[in-house]
Amino acid sequence: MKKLALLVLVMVIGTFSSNAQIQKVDQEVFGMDCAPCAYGLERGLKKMDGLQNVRVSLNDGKAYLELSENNGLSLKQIQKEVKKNGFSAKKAEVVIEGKLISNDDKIEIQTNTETYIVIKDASNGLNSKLKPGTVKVKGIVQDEDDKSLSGNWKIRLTEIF
Amino acid sequence: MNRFIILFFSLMLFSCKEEGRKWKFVKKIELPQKARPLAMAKNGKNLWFSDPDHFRLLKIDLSGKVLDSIVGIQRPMNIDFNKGKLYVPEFLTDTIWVFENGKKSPLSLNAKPEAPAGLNVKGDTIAVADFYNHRIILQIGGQVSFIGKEGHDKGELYYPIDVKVQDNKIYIADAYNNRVQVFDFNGKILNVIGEQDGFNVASAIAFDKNGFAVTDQENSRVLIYDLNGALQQTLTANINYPTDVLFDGNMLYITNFKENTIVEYRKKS
Repeated sequence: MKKLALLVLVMVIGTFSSNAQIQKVDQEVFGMDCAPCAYGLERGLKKMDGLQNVRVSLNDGKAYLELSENNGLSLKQIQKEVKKNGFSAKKAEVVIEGKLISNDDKIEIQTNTETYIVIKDASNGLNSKLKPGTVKVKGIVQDEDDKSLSGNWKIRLTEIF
Repeated sequence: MNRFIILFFSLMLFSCKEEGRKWKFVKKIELPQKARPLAMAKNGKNLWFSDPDHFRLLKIDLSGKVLDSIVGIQRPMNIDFNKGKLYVPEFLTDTIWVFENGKKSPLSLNAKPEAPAGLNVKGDTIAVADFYNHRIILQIGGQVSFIGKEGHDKGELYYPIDVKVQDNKIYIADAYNNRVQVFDFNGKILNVIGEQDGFNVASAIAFDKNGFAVTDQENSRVLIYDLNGALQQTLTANINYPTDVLFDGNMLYITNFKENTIVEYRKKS
Protein backbone atom coordinates (compact mmCIF):
# COMPACT_ATOMS: atom_id res chain seq x y z
CA MET A 1 0.00 0.00 0.00
CA LYS A 2 2.86 2.34 0.93
CA LYS A 3 4.58 1.51 -2.36
CA LEU A 4 1.40 2.29 -4.29
CA ALA A 5 0.99 5.63 -2.50
CA LEU A 6 4.62 6.48 -3.24
CA LEU A 7 4.15 5.57 -6.90
CA VAL A 8 1.06 7.77 -7.15
CA LEU A 9 2.95 10.63 -5.48
CA VAL A 10 5.87 10.29 -7.90
CA MET A 11 3.46 10.21 -10.85
CA VAL A 12 1.66 13.31 -9.63
CA ILE A 13 4.92 15.21 -9.11
CA GLY A 14 6.22 13.94 -12.45
CA THR A 15 3.08 15.08 -14.22
CA PHE A 16 3.38 18.56 -12.77
CA SER A 17 7.06 18.98 -13.47
CA SER A 18 6.85 17.68 -17.05
CA ASN A 19 4.11 20.20 -17.81
CA ALA A 20 5.92 23.09 -16.19
CA GLN A 21 7.69 24.08 -19.31
CA ILE A 22 7.89 26.33 -22.29
CA GLN A 23 5.69 25.05 -25.13
CA LYS A 24 5.93 27.52 -27.99
CA VAL A 25 8.28 30.36 -28.89
CA ASP A 26 8.11 32.96 -31.64
CA GLN A 27 11.57 34.46 -31.23
CA GLU A 28 12.51 37.79 -32.84
CA VAL A 29 16.00 37.58 -34.31
CA PHE A 30 18.03 40.65 -35.18
CA GLY A 31 20.77 40.66 -37.83
CA MET A 32 19.43 37.88 -39.99
CA ASP A 33 19.75 39.40 -43.43
CA CYS A 34 20.56 36.60 -45.85
CA ALA A 35 18.98 33.28 -46.74
CA PRO A 36 21.90 31.00 -45.79
CA CYS A 37 22.21 32.88 -42.48
CA ALA A 38 18.57 32.24 -41.64
CA TYR A 39 18.71 28.63 -42.73
CA GLY A 40 21.94 28.20 -40.77
CA LEU A 41 20.10 29.23 -37.61
CA GLU A 42 17.38 26.77 -38.52
CA ARG A 43 20.01 24.02 -38.81
CA GLY A 44 21.36 24.92 -35.38
CA LEU A 45 17.96 24.98 -33.72
CA LYS A 46 16.91 21.68 -35.32
CA LYS A 47 19.86 20.00 -33.67
CA MET A 48 18.58 20.93 -30.20
CA ASP A 49 16.78 18.20 -28.29
CA GLY A 50 13.22 19.03 -27.36
CA LEU A 51 12.15 20.96 -30.44
CA GLN A 52 9.32 19.47 -32.43
CA ASN A 53 8.97 22.04 -35.20
CA VAL A 54 11.44 24.71 -36.26
CA ARG A 55 10.96 27.31 -38.96
CA VAL A 56 13.05 30.42 -39.42
CA SER A 57 11.59 33.19 -41.56
CA LEU A 58 13.98 35.66 -43.12
CA ASN A 59 10.98 37.74 -44.13
CA ASP A 60 9.60 38.05 -40.61
CA GLY A 61 12.99 38.05 -38.87
CA LYS A 62 11.68 35.36 -36.53
CA ALA A 63 12.25 31.79 -35.48
CA TYR A 64 9.02 29.87 -34.91
CA LEU A 65 9.48 26.99 -32.50
CA GLU A 66 7.13 24.33 -31.21
CA LEU A 67 8.56 22.35 -28.35
CA SER A 68 7.89 18.70 -27.76
CA GLU A 69 6.19 17.33 -24.67
CA ASN A 70 8.47 16.83 -21.70
CA ASN A 71 11.17 18.97 -23.22
CA GLY A 72 13.81 20.22 -20.85
CA LEU A 73 14.53 23.34 -22.85
CA SER A 74 14.70 26.87 -21.54
CA LEU A 75 14.29 30.18 -23.35
CA LYS A 76 17.84 30.92 -22.29
CA GLN A 77 19.15 27.89 -24.22
CA ILE A 78 17.18 28.93 -27.29
CA GLN A 79 18.47 32.50 -27.15
CA LYS A 80 22.03 31.23 -26.64
CA GLU A 81 21.70 29.18 -29.83
CA VAL A 82 20.54 32.32 -31.65
CA LYS A 83 23.60 34.15 -30.38
CA LYS A 84 25.90 31.25 -31.28
CA ASN A 85 24.77 31.62 -34.88
CA GLY A 86 25.82 35.25 -34.95
CA PHE A 87 22.50 36.96 -34.31
CA SER A 88 20.85 38.79 -31.48
CA ALA A 89 17.71 37.44 -29.78
CA LYS A 90 15.14 40.13 -29.08
CA LYS A 91 11.57 39.88 -27.79
CA ALA A 92 9.80 36.55 -27.85
CA GLU A 93 6.18 35.51 -27.76
CA VAL A 94 5.93 32.37 -25.66
CA VAL A 95 3.37 29.88 -24.45
CA ILE A 96 4.38 28.51 -21.08
CA GLU A 97 2.87 26.29 -18.46
CA GLY A 98 4.11 26.66 -14.92
CA LYS A 99 3.42 27.10 -11.26
CA LEU A 100 1.96 30.44 -10.24
CA ILE A 101 3.67 32.01 -7.26
CA SER A 102 2.08 35.15 -5.95
CA ASN A 103 3.43 37.04 -2.98
CA ASP A 104 2.84 40.64 -1.96
CA ASP A 105 2.35 42.44 -5.21
CA LYS A 106 4.66 40.20 -7.23
CA ILE A 107 3.45 37.45 -9.57
CA GLU A 108 5.82 34.83 -10.97
CA ILE A 109 5.34 31.75 -13.13
CA GLN A 110 7.92 29.04 -12.58
CA THR A 111 8.68 26.41 -15.17
CA ASN A 112 11.11 23.56 -14.55
CA THR A 113 13.98 25.66 -15.76
CA GLU A 114 13.11 29.34 -15.49
CA THR A 115 11.14 32.06 -13.77
CA TYR A 116 8.84 34.47 -15.57
CA ILE A 117 8.01 37.65 -13.66
CA VAL A 118 4.60 38.91 -14.77
CA ILE A 119 4.61 42.61 -15.64
CA LYS A 120 1.82 44.64 -14.12
CA ASP A 121 -0.54 45.64 -16.88
CA ALA A 122 -3.86 47.12 -15.90
CA SER A 123 -4.92 47.63 -19.51
CA ASN A 124 -5.98 44.06 -20.24
CA GLY A 125 -6.81 42.96 -16.69
CA LEU A 126 -5.33 39.51 -17.27
CA ASN A 127 -3.11 39.44 -14.20
CA SER A 128 -6.10 39.55 -11.86
CA LYS A 129 -7.62 36.51 -13.60
CA LEU A 130 -4.67 34.25 -12.76
CA LYS A 131 -5.58 31.51 -10.31
CA PRO A 132 -3.22 29.71 -7.92
CA GLY A 133 -1.72 26.42 -9.06
CA THR A 134 -0.62 25.48 -12.54
CA VAL A 135 -1.33 28.04 -15.23
CA LYS A 136 -0.88 28.10 -18.97
CA VAL A 137 -0.36 31.52 -20.48
CA LYS A 138 0.79 33.31 -23.58
CA GLY A 139 2.82 36.49 -23.36
CA ILE A 140 5.57 38.68 -24.68
CA VAL A 141 8.93 38.17 -23.02
CA GLN A 142 10.96 41.35 -22.89
CA ASP A 143 14.33 41.61 -24.56
CA GLU A 144 17.30 40.93 -22.28
CA ASP A 145 20.94 41.64 -22.97
CA ASP A 146 22.30 38.58 -24.79
CA LYS A 147 25.49 38.77 -22.74
CA SER A 148 23.77 38.37 -19.39
CA LEU A 149 20.84 36.00 -19.78
CA SER A 150 19.84 34.99 -16.26
CA GLY A 151 16.83 32.79 -16.92
CA ASN A 152 14.63 35.28 -15.08
CA TRP A 153 12.34 36.87 -17.62
CA LYS A 154 9.81 39.67 -17.59
CA ILE A 155 6.61 38.70 -19.35
CA ARG A 156 3.59 40.75 -20.36
CA LEU A 157 0.58 38.44 -20.54
CA THR A 158 -1.62 38.44 -23.63
CA GLU A 159 -3.75 35.33 -23.01
CA ILE A 160 -4.67 32.86 -20.28
CA PHE A 161 -5.64 29.38 -21.45
CA MET B 1 39.85 68.62 -91.91
CA ASN B 2 38.51 65.57 -93.83
CA ARG B 3 40.65 63.29 -91.67
CA PHE B 4 39.23 64.90 -88.56
CA ILE B 5 35.64 64.34 -89.75
CA ILE B 6 36.36 60.69 -90.61
CA LEU B 7 37.97 60.16 -87.22
CA PHE B 8 35.02 61.83 -85.49
CA PHE B 9 32.43 59.64 -87.24
CA SER B 10 34.55 56.50 -86.68
CA LEU B 11 34.62 57.26 -82.95
CA MET B 12 30.86 57.87 -82.95
CA LEU B 13 30.22 54.57 -84.73
CA PHE B 14 32.53 52.65 -82.37
CA SER B 15 30.86 54.24 -79.37
CA CYS B 16 27.38 53.28 -80.65
CA LYS B 17 28.53 49.72 -81.32
CA GLU B 18 29.95 49.44 -77.82
CA GLU B 19 26.76 50.84 -76.36
CA GLY B 20 24.77 48.26 -78.34
CA ARG B 21 26.82 45.49 -76.76
CA LYS B 22 25.90 46.60 -73.25
CA TRP B 23 23.28 44.73 -71.25
CA LYS B 24 19.97 46.58 -71.03
CA PHE B 25 16.96 45.99 -68.85
CA VAL B 26 14.02 44.45 -70.71
CA LYS B 27 11.37 43.40 -68.20
CA LYS B 28 10.50 41.87 -64.89
CA ILE B 29 9.02 38.39 -64.88
CA GLU B 30 6.39 38.40 -62.15
CA LEU B 31 6.39 35.20 -60.12
CA PRO B 32 3.51 33.56 -58.27
CA GLN B 33 2.56 35.27 -55.05
CA LYS B 34 4.78 34.43 -52.09
CA ALA B 35 7.56 32.91 -54.21
CA ARG B 36 11.07 34.04 -53.32
CA PRO B 37 13.50 33.04 -56.08
CA LEU B 38 16.97 32.25 -54.80
CA ALA B 39 18.59 30.52 -57.77
CA MET B 40 17.84 29.46 -61.33
CA ALA B 41 18.69 26.77 -63.88
CA LYS B 42 17.65 26.80 -67.52
CA ASN B 43 15.71 23.79 -68.81
CA GLY B 44 15.18 24.23 -72.55
CA LYS B 45 13.00 27.30 -72.99
CA ASN B 46 11.93 27.28 -69.36
CA LEU B 47 13.44 28.11 -65.98
CA TRP B 48 13.60 26.17 -62.76
CA PHE B 49 14.04 28.32 -59.69
CA SER B 50 14.57 27.39 -56.07
CA ASP B 51 12.24 28.92 -53.49
CA PRO B 52 13.82 27.90 -50.18
CA ASP B 53 11.46 29.99 -48.08
CA HIS B 54 8.66 27.75 -49.29
CA PHE B 55 10.68 24.51 -49.40
CA ARG B 56 10.13 24.04 -53.14
CA LEU B 57 11.30 24.48 -56.71
CA LEU B 58 9.11 25.86 -59.46
CA LYS B 59 9.44 25.52 -63.20
CA ILE B 60 8.15 28.51 -65.13
CA ASP B 61 8.00 29.72 -68.69
CA LEU B 62 9.43 33.13 -69.50
CA SER B 63 6.11 34.83 -68.81
CA GLY B 64 6.18 33.50 -65.24
CA LYS B 65 3.54 30.81 -65.72
CA VAL B 66 4.15 27.83 -63.44
CA LEU B 67 4.64 24.59 -65.39
CA ASP B 68 5.88 22.18 -62.76
CA SER B 69 6.96 22.02 -59.13
CA ILE B 70 8.98 19.99 -56.67
CA VAL B 71 7.98 20.37 -53.04
CA GLY B 72 9.24 19.29 -49.63
CA ILE B 73 12.90 20.16 -50.15
CA GLN B 74 14.54 21.40 -46.95
CA ARG B 75 15.81 24.77 -48.20
CA PRO B 76 16.92 24.20 -51.82
CA MET B 77 19.81 26.51 -52.71
CA ASN B 78 21.90 27.19 -55.88
CA ILE B 79 20.62 24.57 -58.33
CA ASP B 80 22.17 23.33 -61.57
CA PHE B 81 20.80 21.69 -64.70
CA ASN B 82 23.00 19.41 -66.78
CA LYS B 83 22.15 16.81 -69.43
CA GLY B 84 18.52 16.44 -68.44
CA LYS B 85 19.25 16.27 -64.73
CA LEU B 86 18.30 18.88 -62.17
CA TYR B 87 20.75 19.04 -59.23
CA VAL B 88 19.38 20.46 -55.99
CA PRO B 89 21.53 21.09 -52.90
CA GLU B 90 19.37 20.66 -49.80
CA PHE B 91 20.88 23.02 -47.26
CA LEU B 92 19.36 21.56 -44.10
CA THR B 93 20.03 17.89 -44.74
CA ASP B 94 23.48 18.07 -46.37
CA THR B 95 22.12 16.17 -49.35
CA ILE B 96 22.28 16.88 -53.06
CA TRP B 97 19.27 15.54 -54.91
CA VAL B 98 19.23 14.62 -58.58
CA PHE B 99 15.88 14.83 -60.37
CA GLU B 100 15.54 13.06 -63.70
CA ASN B 101 12.35 12.04 -65.50
CA GLY B 102 10.31 12.62 -62.37
CA LYS B 103 12.55 10.46 -60.20
CA LYS B 104 14.60 11.67 -57.27
CA SER B 105 17.88 10.16 -56.07
CA PRO B 106 20.76 11.40 -53.90
CA LEU B 107 23.95 12.42 -55.67
CA SER B 108 26.81 10.08 -54.89
CA LEU B 109 29.43 12.34 -53.37
CA ASN B 110 32.50 10.91 -51.70
CA ALA B 111 32.74 13.68 -49.13
CA LYS B 112 30.10 15.02 -46.77
CA PRO B 113 29.30 18.72 -47.14
CA GLU B 114 27.97 20.72 -44.23
CA ALA B 115 25.18 22.83 -45.72
CA PRO B 116 25.69 22.55 -49.49
CA ALA B 117 24.92 25.99 -50.89
CA GLY B 118 25.60 25.52 -54.59
CA LEU B 119 27.08 23.20 -57.15
CA ASN B 120 28.16 22.91 -60.75
CA VAL B 121 28.28 19.71 -62.77
CA LYS B 122 30.36 19.43 -65.95
CA GLY B 123 30.70 15.89 -67.30
CA ASP B 124 32.22 13.80 -64.52
CA THR B 125 33.38 16.90 -62.63
CA ILE B 126 31.26 18.01 -59.70
CA ALA B 127 32.08 21.10 -57.63
CA VAL B 128 30.10 21.76 -54.44
CA ALA B 129 30.15 24.93 -52.32
CA ASP B 130 30.51 23.46 -48.81
CA PHE B 131 29.18 26.48 -46.91
CA TYR B 132 30.00 25.73 -43.26
CA ASN B 133 33.31 24.03 -44.02
CA HIS B 134 34.43 27.08 -46.02
CA ARG B 135 35.67 24.98 -48.91
CA ILE B 136 34.80 23.54 -52.28
CA ILE B 137 34.41 19.81 -52.68
CA LEU B 138 35.77 18.86 -56.09
CA GLN B 139 34.93 15.39 -57.30
CA ILE B 140 36.35 14.26 -60.63
CA GLY B 141 35.40 10.75 -61.68
CA GLY B 142 34.85 9.77 -58.07
CA GLN B 143 38.15 11.21 -56.81
CA VAL B 144 37.63 13.90 -54.20
CA SER B 145 39.81 16.88 -53.37
CA PHE B 146 39.15 20.07 -51.42
CA ILE B 147 39.77 23.65 -52.42
CA GLY B 148 40.22 26.45 -49.91
CA LYS B 149 40.00 26.67 -46.15
CA GLU B 150 38.40 29.11 -43.71
CA GLY B 151 39.94 32.56 -43.68
CA HIS B 152 40.16 35.95 -45.27
CA ASP B 153 43.56 35.86 -46.95
CA LYS B 154 44.15 35.17 -50.60
CA GLY B 155 43.26 31.55 -51.35
CA GLU B 156 41.07 31.25 -48.24
CA LEU B 157 37.29 31.18 -48.25
CA TYR B 158 34.58 32.50 -45.98
CA TYR B 159 31.14 30.96 -46.53
CA PRO B 160 31.27 30.16 -50.25
CA ILE B 161 27.79 30.07 -51.76
CA ASP B 162 28.26 29.35 -55.45
CA VAL B 163 30.87 27.69 -57.67
CA LYS B 164 31.40 27.31 -61.40
CA VAL B 165 33.78 25.13 -63.39
CA GLN B 166 34.98 26.93 -66.49
CA ASP B 167 37.96 26.25 -68.79
CA ASN B 168 39.56 23.89 -66.26
CA LYS B 169 39.33 26.52 -63.54
CA ILE B 170 37.16 26.76 -60.45
CA TYR B 171 35.42 30.12 -59.94
CA ILE B 172 34.10 30.56 -56.40
CA ALA B 173 31.61 33.10 -55.09
CA ASP B 174 33.56 33.72 -51.88
CA ALA B 175 30.44 35.34 -50.50
CA TYR B 176 31.43 36.90 -47.19
CA ASN B 177 34.95 37.77 -48.30
CA ASN B 178 33.13 39.86 -50.91
CA ARG B 179 35.03 38.59 -53.93
CA VAL B 180 35.42 35.86 -56.51
CA GLN B 181 38.44 33.58 -56.30
CA VAL B 182 39.77 31.46 -59.12
CA PHE B 183 41.66 28.20 -58.54
CA ASP B 184 43.08 25.47 -60.71
CA PHE B 185 42.03 21.85 -60.14
CA ASN B 186 45.01 21.31 -57.83
CA GLY B 187 43.80 24.03 -55.50
CA LYS B 188 46.34 26.62 -56.57
CA ILE B 189 44.99 30.15 -56.42
CA LEU B 190 45.09 31.85 -59.82
CA ASN B 191 43.20 35.08 -59.43
CA VAL B 192 41.15 37.21 -57.04
CA ILE B 193 38.42 39.29 -58.64
CA GLY B 194 36.22 42.07 -57.34
CA GLU B 195 38.14 43.19 -54.26
CA GLN B 196 38.27 46.72 -55.65
CA ASP B 197 34.65 46.74 -56.73
CA GLY B 198 32.89 47.22 -53.41
CA PHE B 199 31.06 43.91 -53.15
CA ASN B 200 28.85 43.26 -50.17
CA VAL B 201 28.18 39.52 -50.37
CA ALA B 202 29.19 37.99 -53.71
CA SER B 203 26.51 35.35 -53.91
CA ALA B 204 26.46 33.86 -57.43
CA ILE B 205 28.45 33.50 -60.65
CA ALA B 206 27.38 32.75 -64.23
CA PHE B 207 29.37 32.47 -67.46
CA ASP B 208 28.86 33.24 -71.10
CA LYS B 209 31.41 33.13 -73.92
CA ASN B 210 32.59 36.71 -73.26
CA GLY B 211 32.99 36.61 -69.52
CA PHE B 212 31.03 36.20 -66.34
CA ALA B 213 28.52 37.94 -64.09
CA VAL B 214 28.60 38.16 -60.30
CA THR B 215 25.73 39.17 -58.03
CA ASP B 216 26.47 41.82 -55.41
CA GLN B 217 23.60 40.84 -53.15
CA GLU B 218 23.49 43.53 -50.49
CA ASN B 219 24.22 46.37 -52.92
CA SER B 220 21.56 45.18 -55.38
CA ARG B 221 23.96 45.09 -58.33
CA VAL B 222 25.23 42.60 -60.89
CA LEU B 223 28.77 43.13 -62.15
CA ILE B 224 29.84 41.92 -65.58
CA TYR B 225 33.51 40.94 -66.10
CA ASP B 226 35.47 39.81 -69.14
CA LEU B 227 37.30 36.50 -69.02
CA ASN B 228 40.40 38.25 -67.62
CA GLY B 229 38.43 39.60 -64.70
CA ALA B 230 38.23 43.21 -65.93
CA LEU B 231 34.99 44.94 -65.00
CA GLN B 232 32.89 45.70 -68.11
CA GLN B 233 29.52 46.84 -66.82
CA THR B 234 27.55 47.32 -63.61
CA LEU B 235 23.85 46.55 -63.73
CA THR B 236 21.47 48.14 -61.23
CA ALA B 237 18.19 48.86 -63.04
CA ASN B 238 15.30 47.00 -61.40
CA ILE B 239 17.63 44.76 -59.42
CA ASN B 240 16.64 44.19 -55.81
CA TYR B 241 18.71 41.84 -53.62
CA PRO B 242 20.01 39.58 -56.42
CA THR B 243 20.93 36.07 -55.34
CA ASP B 244 21.55 34.45 -58.73
CA VAL B 245 22.30 35.28 -62.33
CA LEU B 246 21.98 33.19 -65.49
CA PHE B 247 23.09 33.76 -69.11
CA ASP B 248 21.10 32.41 -72.03
CA GLY B 249 22.52 33.64 -75.34
CA ASN B 250 21.78 37.35 -75.53
CA MET B 251 19.60 37.20 -72.46
CA LEU B 252 20.55 37.56 -68.84
CA TYR B 253 18.27 36.61 -65.93
CA ILE B 254 18.63 37.84 -62.37
CA THR B 255 16.66 36.72 -59.31
CA ASN B 256 15.20 39.48 -57.14
CA PHE B 257 15.00 37.48 -53.94
CA LYS B 258 13.11 40.09 -51.98
CA GLU B 259 10.43 41.00 -54.49
CA ASN B 260 9.16 37.86 -56.18
CA THR B 261 10.53 38.70 -59.61
CA ILE B 262 13.16 37.58 -62.08
CA VAL B 263 14.66 40.38 -64.12
CA GLU B 264 15.46 39.99 -67.81
CA TYR B 265 18.28 41.92 -69.49
CA ARG B 266 19.29 41.74 -73.12
CA LYS B 267 22.17 42.83 -75.34
CA LYS B 268 22.61 42.96 -79.11
CA SER B 269 24.62 40.13 -80.60
